[in-house]
Amino acid sequence: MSETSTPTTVDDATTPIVSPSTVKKSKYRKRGQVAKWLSIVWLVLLVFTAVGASWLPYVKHSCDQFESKADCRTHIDPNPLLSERPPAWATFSETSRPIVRDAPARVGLMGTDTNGFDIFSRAMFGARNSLLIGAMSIVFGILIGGTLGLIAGYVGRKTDRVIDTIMNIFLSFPALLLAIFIVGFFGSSGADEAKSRSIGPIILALVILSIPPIARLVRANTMVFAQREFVLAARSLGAKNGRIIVREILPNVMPAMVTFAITGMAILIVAEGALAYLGLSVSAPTPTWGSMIFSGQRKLETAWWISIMPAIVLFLTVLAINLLGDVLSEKFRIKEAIG
Amino acid sequence: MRYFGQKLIQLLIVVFVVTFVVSLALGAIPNAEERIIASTGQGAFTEEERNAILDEVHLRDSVVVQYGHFVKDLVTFDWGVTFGGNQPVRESIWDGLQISLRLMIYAQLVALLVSIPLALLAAYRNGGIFDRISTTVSFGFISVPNYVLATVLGLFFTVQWKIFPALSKNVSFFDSPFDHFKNFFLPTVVLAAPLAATYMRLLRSDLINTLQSDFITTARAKGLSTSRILFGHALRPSLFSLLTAAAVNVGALVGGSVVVETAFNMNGLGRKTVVGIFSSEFRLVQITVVVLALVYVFINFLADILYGFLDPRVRGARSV
Amino acid sequence: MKLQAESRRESGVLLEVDDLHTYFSTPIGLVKSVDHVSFTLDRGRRLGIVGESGCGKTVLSRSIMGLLPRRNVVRGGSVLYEGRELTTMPLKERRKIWGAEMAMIFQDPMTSLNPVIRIGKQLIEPLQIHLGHDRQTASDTALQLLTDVGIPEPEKRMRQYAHELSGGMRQRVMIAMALTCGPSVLFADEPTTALDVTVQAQILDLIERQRRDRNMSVVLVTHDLGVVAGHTDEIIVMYAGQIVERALTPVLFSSMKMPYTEALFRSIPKLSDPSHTRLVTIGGRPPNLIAPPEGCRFSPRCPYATDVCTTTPPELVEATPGHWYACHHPVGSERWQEVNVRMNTGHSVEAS
Repeated sequence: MSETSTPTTVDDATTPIVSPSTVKKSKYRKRGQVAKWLSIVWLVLLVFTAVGASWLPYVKHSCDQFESKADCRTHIDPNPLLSERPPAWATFSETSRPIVRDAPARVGLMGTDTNGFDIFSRAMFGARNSLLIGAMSIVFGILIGGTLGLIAGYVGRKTDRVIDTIMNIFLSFPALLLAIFIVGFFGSSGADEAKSRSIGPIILALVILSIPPIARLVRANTMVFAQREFVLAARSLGAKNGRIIVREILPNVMPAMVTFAITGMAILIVAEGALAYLGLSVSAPTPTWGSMIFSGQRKLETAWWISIMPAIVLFLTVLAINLLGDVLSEKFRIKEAIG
Repeated sequence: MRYFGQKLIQLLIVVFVVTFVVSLALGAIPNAEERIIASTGQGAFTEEERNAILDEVHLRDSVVVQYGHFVKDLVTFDWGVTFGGNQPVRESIWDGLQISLRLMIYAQLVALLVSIPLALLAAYRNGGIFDRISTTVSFGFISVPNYVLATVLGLFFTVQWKIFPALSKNVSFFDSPFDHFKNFFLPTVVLAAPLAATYMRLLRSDLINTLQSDFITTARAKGLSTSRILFGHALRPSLFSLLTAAAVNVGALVGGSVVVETAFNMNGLGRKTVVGIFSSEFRLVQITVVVLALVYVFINFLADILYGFLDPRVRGARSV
Repeated sequence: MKLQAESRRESGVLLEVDDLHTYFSTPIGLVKSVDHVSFTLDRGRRLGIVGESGCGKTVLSRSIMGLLPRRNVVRGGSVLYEGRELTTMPLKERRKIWGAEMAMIFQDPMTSLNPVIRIGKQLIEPLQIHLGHDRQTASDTALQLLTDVGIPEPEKRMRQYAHELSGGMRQRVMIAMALTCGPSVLFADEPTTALDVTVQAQILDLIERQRRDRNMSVVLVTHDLGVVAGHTDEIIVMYAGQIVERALTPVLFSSMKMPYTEALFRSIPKLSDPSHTRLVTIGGRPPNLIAPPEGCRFSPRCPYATDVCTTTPPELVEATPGHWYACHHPVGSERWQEVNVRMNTGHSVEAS
């Protein structure tokens, strides 16, 4: 029986005696739906092509087909005939490379890069790499960060203090710099060329980047739930701590974790791109979106598509992930409010 | 007062740990000894000479001694010389700091100047056209990685329309204001865009919440004008998220704008660090890290104090 | 100030509300919060508006002032303040009236005061804006007001924030704030509900004292019959957005006609009741404002309801001059007597 809730906002009318379950279906809720579904479609397509990249008919070339990088360098045919061609539909652009014989002036969905590789194919393989890196990093980040957060939040006191301080120390660095250090630290071994960078240090860096925020989030959420009565009840029934954490607290913390994971993955993909842009990511010719953008940087004037095409793909992917993350967090928030 | 003390202690702990870790980092690099020797750039050394070099950086002394020397050097500004350009590290860092600080200040100013009015407008006409458009646009800007934005903007402004230079030079404001702006414009825009978008969203959301409060109704019933209500009554209680974010960004931008610095070829601290890593400028990197971390931590500390100042409720309250 | 005081010495009609209605447009229908309400308020008089939660009394007071937003609100009827039509007045004009001539105090003083602005500044604001006072003059006035409302150490309080004051003090500050420009009418929306019982009496007395000193009209909106009993000249009883009874206070309490009023009255626990007497409640649920019952809106919960009650809405009729009610079977009628013989006191008033 609520008191008549009278309109108190500058412009909004709150309505009296309307039960909370009747949610206003305004017209731009539908627009939100469209965006949501578009994002899902895009991401599904992306994952699909990324996974099946090697087998897709159009997608040609890739170093991943080969056993070793050396093989790739010798076997792949960079096709000089097709070097730096604009995309087929970009009739306003022309290549600055000489056109020999009957070589086409415009090639492919996204054009070709300096070596003659089809950019679309590279972008698809790049999708695989970027998505993999992002996904793996965030998964490890959640495993480690989540565990730390759960422990810190549940056990409290000294353990909590210690873990919290450690996390704060990591957080006291600008994130990107931290990543740069870690990669720089572990990446090169003696012979310092950017050529021989492997994927390990990068994932390590990204994982370390993601642990403190996740731990902090999980810790805060855990502390909220650890006080609640159902935990007390479980404990009074003799449940062991571990069991309580897993069976009682974890399901409640999950939604926040999952939402964070999704947006976190987008952030990590961008971070990997940044590392690549700086020349610190996996080495050529393995494609990642960031390195592709980097490689086309100096050629913006003559061959803009080399940078811009992967940039667009990256942007759309991040946008899609962010949108989904947003939608999910809305859902969880409503669920929490209604109970 | 108690609040202040707590924050101060946290500050000191972090400073200690950071300097400690960094001081030891030198020794922890794989192949440390070899690389240090190699980085001096000169040929082979005798055993004695090698030991001399290593001793100079106290590599083989105990942890405590290493730390002690590090702190001493740090505090007395005895930071050595870069191998590459033979420039005192101190100078190099100072130059870089200037650029990074400038970028940060410009970016923050632009972001705040843009985001606050936009947020006010959007929150006032919540749900209106302006609100929806600005929300969508800001979402877009948040999703764009800054190197993408830099590339795209670079494409248009530098390549096509040739308004701004591709490779910036550090032109001092006092030498030539116009050139200064030309050089700093694009990097500032690229840095400020996601910042402004985030700030706008934060402020808008808080404003919408605040505008639902009872005291806003009271203010209306007092006959106050809309602008007075927005600026005088609604804005202040809604600023907290925004200010927290801005404060965090002050520190984050100084070191974290590596990408933008690289994209526009500005020699800020971030870029210097990266270049330093590549060229094994250990001392430079060490000091830079410490400087950056200290700046960041100190700024956050100030922000916490400011927070307590702005929200009188925090001041009196006991720590949670 | 002088001019206002002069015109105030006159008495006469201050506020005329005629056929006022306020509906809210929601996805599930039109919520008729205030449904064709009419009454008048004279200068210096105290009016009480009573009803349970959701009856529309708060929306009524805000509708009169005009504080409701534009969107999704359907309005109609007229509100004449000193002869000026408020419903069609542009916002700018209305703002000049708000605070200066019509003031409102709200239920929860904690949330109704700005938490990050000092009390003093909030008090001075209306003085500066409406009366054009400079800082010093306004400050002095504010200090005087704080003393008038019974706040000790006013200089100290001026510099404090809302959370540093107790509940009762905050409400006093709210009252002071409302009175700064010497309004002709004060709307008090549940002013005591959020306060301790002991403080309630003080606040009500304060309002009464101020009213007397300034010859101000007061509209006291509350669900608590006890509050209006000693502090009003006239009472309006509202139910489901409509006025169901209206009378001078002593008349209402001595010879109430509408069964709803009777039920409200019965539900007040009295000291003279023997201990362990069951609390009397009004059974049923508040009415649906989107699709109110045909006929009398109280009929689903009325112990005296008959067929005519469910089909024909009762009209407001005048029992004695100034005493209006709307009921087919008012207190004292045949039907009423019939039912009351059957009932014992102490049982809840159920729909038969």
